[in-house]
Amino acid sequence: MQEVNYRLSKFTKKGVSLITAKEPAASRPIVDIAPLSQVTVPLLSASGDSLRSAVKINQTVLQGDLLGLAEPGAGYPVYAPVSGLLVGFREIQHPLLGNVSCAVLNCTIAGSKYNKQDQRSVDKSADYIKLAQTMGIIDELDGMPLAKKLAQWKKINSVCLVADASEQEPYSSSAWSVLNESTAEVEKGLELISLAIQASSRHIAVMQPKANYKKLKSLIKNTDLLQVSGKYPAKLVSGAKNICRVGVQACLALYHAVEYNRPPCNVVVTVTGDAVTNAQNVRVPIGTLVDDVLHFCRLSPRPEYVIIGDAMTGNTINRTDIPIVPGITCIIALKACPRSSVHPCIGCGRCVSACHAGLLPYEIMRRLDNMQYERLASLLAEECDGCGACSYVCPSGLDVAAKVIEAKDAHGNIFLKWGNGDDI
Amino acid sequence: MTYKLAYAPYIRRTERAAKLSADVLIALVPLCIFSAVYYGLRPVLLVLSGLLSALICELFACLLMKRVPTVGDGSAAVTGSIIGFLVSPLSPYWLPAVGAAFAILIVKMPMGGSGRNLFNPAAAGLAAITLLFPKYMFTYPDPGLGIPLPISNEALETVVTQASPASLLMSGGKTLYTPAMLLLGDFPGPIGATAVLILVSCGVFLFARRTISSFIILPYLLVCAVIAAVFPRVLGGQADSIMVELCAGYLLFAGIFLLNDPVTAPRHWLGRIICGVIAGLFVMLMRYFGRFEEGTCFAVLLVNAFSSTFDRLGWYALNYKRIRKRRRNR
Repeated sequence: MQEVNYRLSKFTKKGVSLITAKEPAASRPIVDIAPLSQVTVPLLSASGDSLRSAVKINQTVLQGDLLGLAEPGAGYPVYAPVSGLLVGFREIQHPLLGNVSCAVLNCTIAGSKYNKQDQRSVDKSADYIKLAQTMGIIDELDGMPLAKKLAQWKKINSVCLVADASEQEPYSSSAWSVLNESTAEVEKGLELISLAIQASSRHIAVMQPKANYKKLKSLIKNTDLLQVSGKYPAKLVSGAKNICRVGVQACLALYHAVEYNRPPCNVVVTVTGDAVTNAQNVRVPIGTLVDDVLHFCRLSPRPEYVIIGDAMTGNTINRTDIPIVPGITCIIALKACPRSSVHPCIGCGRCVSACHAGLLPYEIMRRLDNMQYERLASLLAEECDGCGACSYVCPSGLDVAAKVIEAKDAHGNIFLKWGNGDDI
Repeated sequence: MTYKLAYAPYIRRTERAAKLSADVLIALVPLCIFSAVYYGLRPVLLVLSGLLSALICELFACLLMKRVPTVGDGSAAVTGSIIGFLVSPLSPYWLPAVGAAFAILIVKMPMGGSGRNLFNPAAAGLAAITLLFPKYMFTYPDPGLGIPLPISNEALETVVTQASPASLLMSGGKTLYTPAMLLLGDFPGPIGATAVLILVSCGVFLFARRTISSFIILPYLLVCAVIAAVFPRVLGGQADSIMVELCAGYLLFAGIFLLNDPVTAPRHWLGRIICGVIAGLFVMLMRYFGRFEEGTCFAVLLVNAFSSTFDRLGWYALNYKRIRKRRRNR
């Protein structure tokens, strides 16, 4: 078996030590959301193409019925996450998907096309990549279609497959809860992916206290369990250098697709933050509005900020009538205002020490502020992965990460092509 | 219901910019106590004079520039105290005040204030008073007498003065000071720069608090030691030469407090190493060929001017391949 570790740069200790705020959600069981009156399902293929509706207005659909049709032979379809009546379509400006057309389903009908007893024998020679495509499974780690990722990995020799439940950011615990609740199923799902891409080894990565790790280790039989330690963001390294990460919910979805022929209808999200009274992991149908989930977990006073994603890399939203899609694993409602800028950069170099990509965040910020766009190109801002460690450590409270991402996004802009970069 | 928008991350480390200044001020307190034990209340008043002058000048400059006063971040207090600590205990009270006023009003605030100054204000203030009043700067009392210095400026003429190790180094010959005397601070010198053991402890404290970086100070001291060993200015061997060179003047103090000023020091670890090496070289050149017995402040100002260049040099040296690859792909 290949040696796989989570570790940081060999020479300097990069990264930051984060606080943990996973409790009490992490230790509570996953709760199914109360029956909803309406869901709003984005009709957008995971590849980014708009889908054609397979159902007409005022027509009823059962859970698992095809809702959005992709182009024949390509694209990823969307299935009805709940049984209900299609009452119309809505255009929504989604923070992750952009402007998207959504099907609005009134959840007036009970029942489903599927039930647990419909288990079928697993065909080990079946094309799981094709199945992942027809089922429209999305990997929650990056919001990418699972089929697309698997097709890419299949071409690589010596793949080290890792189901990543490490959740290094402070709040989210949905992957851990799913893994804890459906350990065997996730393991089987990972095995199926491993078969599909012919991976040379497979692992499950967690970042848990010792007791939890030991408990999980006793439950996992055929897969290597990795304990992630070190500073955020810890990187996976292996001698083989072909590490492929997949989310545990995607593993579970593939297992359900193979075992029960059931498309993914639900996602598990961590709902937490100081403005949430009942912080927990909630299983919600795809298309449930953020507002419904927040109210299900009871908002204490009116929160000032609602964040989709975790505290280090998430996005704030100004409206909560946004549907939850695979890729959203955490929703945070905060009362307190994040610290605003108080001082100019004092040049302490904390951001340089924290940057695991080895960039000079303060210099990128300075050049952007001074409008030296032509000198930005040589600072490799495009290699930033937006982990937010530089902003986290900044003693002046500056939004360094936002500036670096701005510089990264400006790549290709005509201003950047004025010069040949910064020659010393 | 609409909610507010903000940039990620939504949690921040509680460390504030003022904490860095507070750490330095805490580290300076033992030095103040030490000098009070040797020389009485006078050095404490000199430090306070520098500190108050810096605070008042910063407040005045902020009012003049119609800005929110930045006295609270502690950087002005650090500048004023450092100037106070690096003058002679026999200096008149106005000397650190003039140095601090120059540092704040001429060097720091016109460049934009806290975080924007190109040169270390304390080093610039010291350079100014060294050039203008060298007589006051380099006349030191004999610490071995154990008598507190008079408080009033007029009574200072009666105080017995003694040649500092730095001036002995300039004139050559055998050193008068044993390693034990040098470590315990029993030799003439600036208020805060003679207590070598306390200075080392302060350095360790600031390093543990991550306020200073070992990447600057270690190469700096190493280069100074190597030059002292290769070109000794005292009779008695290389070990004596290294000991006296490192302890004399405010070489060690500058390594801990001036070169590690976050605003003017390089940020990249390789840039910091380059900075330390060049600073060590400049300091020794100033000592060997300079006009004054102690020219560390000039060396600090020189390296400050190239701080950003050292940073880029260090970073480009490590990322040269990555940049070339990107350029080719572009």
